Amino acid sequence: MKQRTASLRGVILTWFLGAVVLGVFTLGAMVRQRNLATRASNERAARQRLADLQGPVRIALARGETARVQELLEGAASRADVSEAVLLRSKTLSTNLAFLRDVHLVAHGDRTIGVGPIRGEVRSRALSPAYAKQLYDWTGRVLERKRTDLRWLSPPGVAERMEVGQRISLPKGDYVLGLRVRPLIRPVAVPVLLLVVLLLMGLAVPLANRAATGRWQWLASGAGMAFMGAACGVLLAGYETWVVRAPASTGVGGLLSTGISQGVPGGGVGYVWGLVSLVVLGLVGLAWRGTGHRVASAFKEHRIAMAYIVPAALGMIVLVLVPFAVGIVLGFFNHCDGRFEYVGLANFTDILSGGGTSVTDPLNFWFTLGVTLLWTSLNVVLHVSIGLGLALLLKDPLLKGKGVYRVLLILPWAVPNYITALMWKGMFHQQFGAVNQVLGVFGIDKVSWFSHFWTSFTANVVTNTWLGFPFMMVVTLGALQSIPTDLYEAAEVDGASKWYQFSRITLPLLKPALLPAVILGAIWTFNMFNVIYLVSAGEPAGSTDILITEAYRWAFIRHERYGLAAAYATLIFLILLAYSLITNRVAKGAEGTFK
Amino acid sequence: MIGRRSRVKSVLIHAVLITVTVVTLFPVALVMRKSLSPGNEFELSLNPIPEKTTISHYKTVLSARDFSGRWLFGRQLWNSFVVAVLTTIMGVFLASTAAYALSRFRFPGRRFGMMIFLVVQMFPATLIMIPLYVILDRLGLLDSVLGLVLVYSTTAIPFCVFMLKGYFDTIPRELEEAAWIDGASRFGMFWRVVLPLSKPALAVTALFSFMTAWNEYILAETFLNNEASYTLPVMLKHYVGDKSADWGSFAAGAILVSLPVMALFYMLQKALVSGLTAGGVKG
Repeated sequence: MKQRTASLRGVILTWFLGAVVLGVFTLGAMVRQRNLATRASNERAARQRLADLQGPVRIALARGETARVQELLEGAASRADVSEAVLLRSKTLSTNLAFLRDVHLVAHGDRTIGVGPIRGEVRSRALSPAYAKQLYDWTGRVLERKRTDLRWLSPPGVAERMEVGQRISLPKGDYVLGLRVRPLIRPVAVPVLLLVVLLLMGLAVPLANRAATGRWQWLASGAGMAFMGAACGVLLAGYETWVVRAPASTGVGGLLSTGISQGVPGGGVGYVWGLVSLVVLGLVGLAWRGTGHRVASAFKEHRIAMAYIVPAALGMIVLVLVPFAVGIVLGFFNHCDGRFEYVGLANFTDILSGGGTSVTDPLNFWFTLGVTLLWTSLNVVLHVSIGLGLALLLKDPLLKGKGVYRVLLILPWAVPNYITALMWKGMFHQQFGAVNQVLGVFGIDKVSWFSHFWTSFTANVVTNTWLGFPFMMVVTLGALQSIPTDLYEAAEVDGASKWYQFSRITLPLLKPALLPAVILGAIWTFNMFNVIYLVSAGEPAGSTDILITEAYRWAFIRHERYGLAAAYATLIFLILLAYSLITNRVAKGAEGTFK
Repeated sequence: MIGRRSRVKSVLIHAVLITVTVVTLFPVALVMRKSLSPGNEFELSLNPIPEKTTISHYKTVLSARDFSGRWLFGRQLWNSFVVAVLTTIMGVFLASTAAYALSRFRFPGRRFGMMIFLVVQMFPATLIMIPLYVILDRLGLLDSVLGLVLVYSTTAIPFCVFMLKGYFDTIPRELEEAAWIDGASRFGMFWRVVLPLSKPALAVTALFSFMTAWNEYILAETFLNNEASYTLPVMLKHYVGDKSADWGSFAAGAILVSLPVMALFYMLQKALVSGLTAGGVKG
């Protein structure tokens, strides 16, 4: 009975809060409608001026971008993927660099300075001297060496970033013109209808819940939660488009209409609303399942335990769960120039379809995934076999100097891994590196390690093997000690061979200790950012990047595409989750056999 | 016969172990050598003992200054230290109570909570780096110690929870019951019985989270923009950029930065192994 009233109350509450949320969104939509209109007319004007600009600007085009920039400058500005002109000055160098990367077009007076995207470690946010030193273009020509020397990039009296429609006036003399070209992802309309349907279904479920009993009740509640969650997701992800598009025609018709969004200024508000609605809907979900009451009473009953757990739980929610949720939501957005706009599943489809690249292209998701899997399995195999081998050697009770070996062999584990990575990068240097020296002793010519895929990949693997075997060795040593020696004595008496002893006694008894270590090691390796990023840095041409470094590159090195990077991270998370669910079963199975 | 065979065997074993050890130590020896010998490049030599000795690299690293004459090494050392200490405090403080609850109480959501902590501990902070970056950017916390501490805490808290829970589980409940009979409150039991008993575990956990924060590179690299707010790992990386590399300074810096934590590591590694392998498995 209690359950019934609870779910009835829940239904009413859900309707009420749902109405509030919808109301807020509609209001927001109306307010923003005006901004949008202004924006659209500004954009038209800006495009006109852009077209006018082509005369005096000396243009150099990069590979791949040619067509788009040219089109733009020839006045074919009606394309949806080019929406604004940005004129930059180097008030902050970072902006300039971001622009250089994005634009592939730099003109300096009459002289064409830079051509193509800048390679190397250029970050968007800041430029330390070390980074400035690396500033060179894709032809390998050094553009500039020092931070201060880059100041000439500043055209006097021009705003750092122009708002769309602001007049661009170029003084005679030095200037830099940047045309920010949007990535080719097109915004997708939010399926408002779908949202409404989801909400309704979410509400229909508790009604079914009232009639159901026992196990079915749980199922119904679960389904309700899922629908609600899906609605939340759509709502969150679609906010921007919603507000933009809905009022095209007023009323319900407007809300249900679909369309294309052009990002709204101040996208941050969207997050706040998104998070608020998430919380609200979460609460609604709880209340409506009748769990609100149960949670409250559980809190009362276990209030001491809760008092202990709450600080850490809050910390985790704020520090992990919220960013995590934001990360997933970000995957549905495209970031361009400080703005986020909803693009639906475009990021995911872009990644999974390879974004127009073939499977052999380093930028292709499947290629990177393949490299990552190869990288992980190879490393784990090497770690375990070397670790196990050494542990077996060190096991011998009669061996002298065991302690010394042990202490020396775990050294790689003690060295911070970024130092290891940099150290090995130095050792793989073509001219001065120790590795080529050693090879030279055997009469092998100097290898340019980072200019071929396999050599570069090998360099990464060698580094990571050096780094990772001690952990496996130590774990195995510990586990070996717990195997009773009389087992071996008994086997010896029965005339079992060494191999037989190893495969029938050692390995099975090592399994419970080794398996968790292997699972953990695989996850570590899968995400071994530092080694890849610092040793090969993805060279040649990003082919040795693993998923996590690839995601990082999209966010912080290429184009600040946070949305795409977040979608990558989500995919990585899903892969890891699937992996741990599978291995969890395997581990449990293994545990079971020894009980 | 048997004696001779086992002697051959032990010589063989020693030979293998010595080879592996030499290969293992060689890179570190090279860095040592580089830090003490002049020049910015690695030399064309396999001999790990420097021919000419100089401490100029150490001087360069220790006395580096930026444009406005600020003492960079001092600042970066301070940043690293502050970040690591604050992360440790945050981690241990929040985790000790949570670990106690997870170890002693049975309450709904316990298993779920454990699972969350485990999953978060296994998955690296790099995964949520992008949203964290966007959020910190909005909050204006990029380039600040506080922002970095928050980011590091995402890994420190679950780690500490697991280490401490594993240890609390080994403390017999009878002690608490005795305290209970003597009139101690719940909190009194935690504060006066369990915590003092687990001082060693607290110390180990604290030192580990300190080490982790001290050694972290990529998050610091991403979240910090300003040379004066760098932590030491970021500073070290910047000695060896793509185009110009000062391996001498890098080597000297690497030794300065990592020797203390390596010493710490050797003191603590046994505890780490048991924590990592035992803590996660038991429900």
